[in-house]
Amino acid sequence: MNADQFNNTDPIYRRFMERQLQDALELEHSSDLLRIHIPPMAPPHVVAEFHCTGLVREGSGEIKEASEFHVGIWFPADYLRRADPFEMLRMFTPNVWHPNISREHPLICIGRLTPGTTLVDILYQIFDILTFQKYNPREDDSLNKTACAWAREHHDRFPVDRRPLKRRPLDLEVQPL
Amino acid sequence: MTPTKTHHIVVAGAGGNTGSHLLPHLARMTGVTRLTLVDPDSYEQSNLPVQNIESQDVGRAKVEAQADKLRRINPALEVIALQQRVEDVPRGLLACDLMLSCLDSKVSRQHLNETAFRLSTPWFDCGVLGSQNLVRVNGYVPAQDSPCLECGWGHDEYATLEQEYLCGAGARTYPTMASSALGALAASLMAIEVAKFLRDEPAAPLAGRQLVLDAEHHIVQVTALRRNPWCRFDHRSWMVEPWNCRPESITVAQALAQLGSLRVEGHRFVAQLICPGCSRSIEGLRLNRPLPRCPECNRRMVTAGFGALERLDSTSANGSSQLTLAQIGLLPGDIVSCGTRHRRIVEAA
Repeated sequence: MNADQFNNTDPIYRRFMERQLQDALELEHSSDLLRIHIPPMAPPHVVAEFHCTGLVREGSGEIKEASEFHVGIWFPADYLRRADPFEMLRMFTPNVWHPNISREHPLICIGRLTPGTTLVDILYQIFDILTFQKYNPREDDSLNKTACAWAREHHDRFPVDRRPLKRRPLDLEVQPL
Repeated sequence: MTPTKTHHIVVAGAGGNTGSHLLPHLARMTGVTRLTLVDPDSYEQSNLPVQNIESQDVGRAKVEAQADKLRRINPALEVIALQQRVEDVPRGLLACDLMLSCLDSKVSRQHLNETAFRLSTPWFDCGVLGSQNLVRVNGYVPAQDSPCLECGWGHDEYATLEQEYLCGAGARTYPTMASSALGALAASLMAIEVAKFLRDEPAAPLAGRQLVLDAEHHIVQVTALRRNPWCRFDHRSWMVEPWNCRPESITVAQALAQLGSLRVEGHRFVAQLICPGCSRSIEGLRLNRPLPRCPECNRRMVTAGFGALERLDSTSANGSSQLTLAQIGLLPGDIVSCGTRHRRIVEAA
């Protein structure tokens, strides 16, 4: 990752972003469920492709499992000092069925986001949401109230994907007989 | 020695537990000729026991009630009342000789710190902790290697910055539980430091220090603050030039032709606002200040990721280039940055 790619002269921000991308690529390398894309206008724009099981609602109203989700993450120049969780994230995959994801708009809510939260932590939070390991059960502050009511009735089905985001190393050391 | 210069002081959080006690002291000080009061709130019944107000002030804007009181104390004093969050006030309107913070919000303090360093203006910050009878006054004087508010911040401070979001608790400012007496004590300490500043400027005695008074155990503590080389704030100061223009007359295209690009630090340009509560959306390029509320359900409207612009240029303004600066939310007093230059919008006479 080249420091000149960042349109920000603040050395602390540049160093932070270099580290974030490096750590995210390491996570991608050790994950079967994650791919990281850096679009042309980036960094600090990143698109994460999750190959995990999540839910979508089709036009017919049927709620089905899906296996590919794209989420955009933007790191503004002042991200180490202030953060707006809505402004930073964009749900590119349409019709995702989740209380924390809007159906009408590309909004995703991961809750409180501390300025300077690492990209890897954000990826884990998004993954937890997509797989229903984490969801907001309160309708009044949900992005999809219908999905929220549905989720309360079907909580026994969650999480919809139990695989870990990071591949667990297999300890196959064989003891000699 | 009495001050000979005239001074303009900005007080943010002017109507609260400390601010309401501080203002009368400032109005009586020789050398203070202009006060700008900033506070977005109005007085409520619950403020009566802990703030320096009277029952007829309940229901009034804090800055208006305080401004009237100050004019009665000192009719010669020029008082400017801004009923806004300090984050929403155009930075140029905060240009002064000294900024004082009686704020109860970390986000607002952070913004004032940033403004003070950008404009190379000293600022004092005070705080109270009612449960422990603690009072604190900090002094920050922008200079090379001088500390700022954020130099003392770690992860925990950033983690507790107020934030408004769905899917959990929203923005929250915790009450200080401070009595009127404790607020008055903080105000008196602050006022004494202001008087010393007016007398001794530029060698402000509180520069880079924190004074803590523990009224519970009768202890006074003074701590020297240091510049943190890893501070997340860049401490840069600006050379601000005047930019004579009328925001309601000049178009975005004309402004971009003059400046190349437009940026208002601390804010973003957005093309679509969405209500996360009822999904209503509003289209149109604008500066996201003040944080708009949904006309239907009063939730804070937001922008989806990749929809906000830190800088407006001819490419990103495409389709909105014939709107005026006023139509996209710029105001007289705003400081517009383009590259390394900073221009304050000054309305031509």
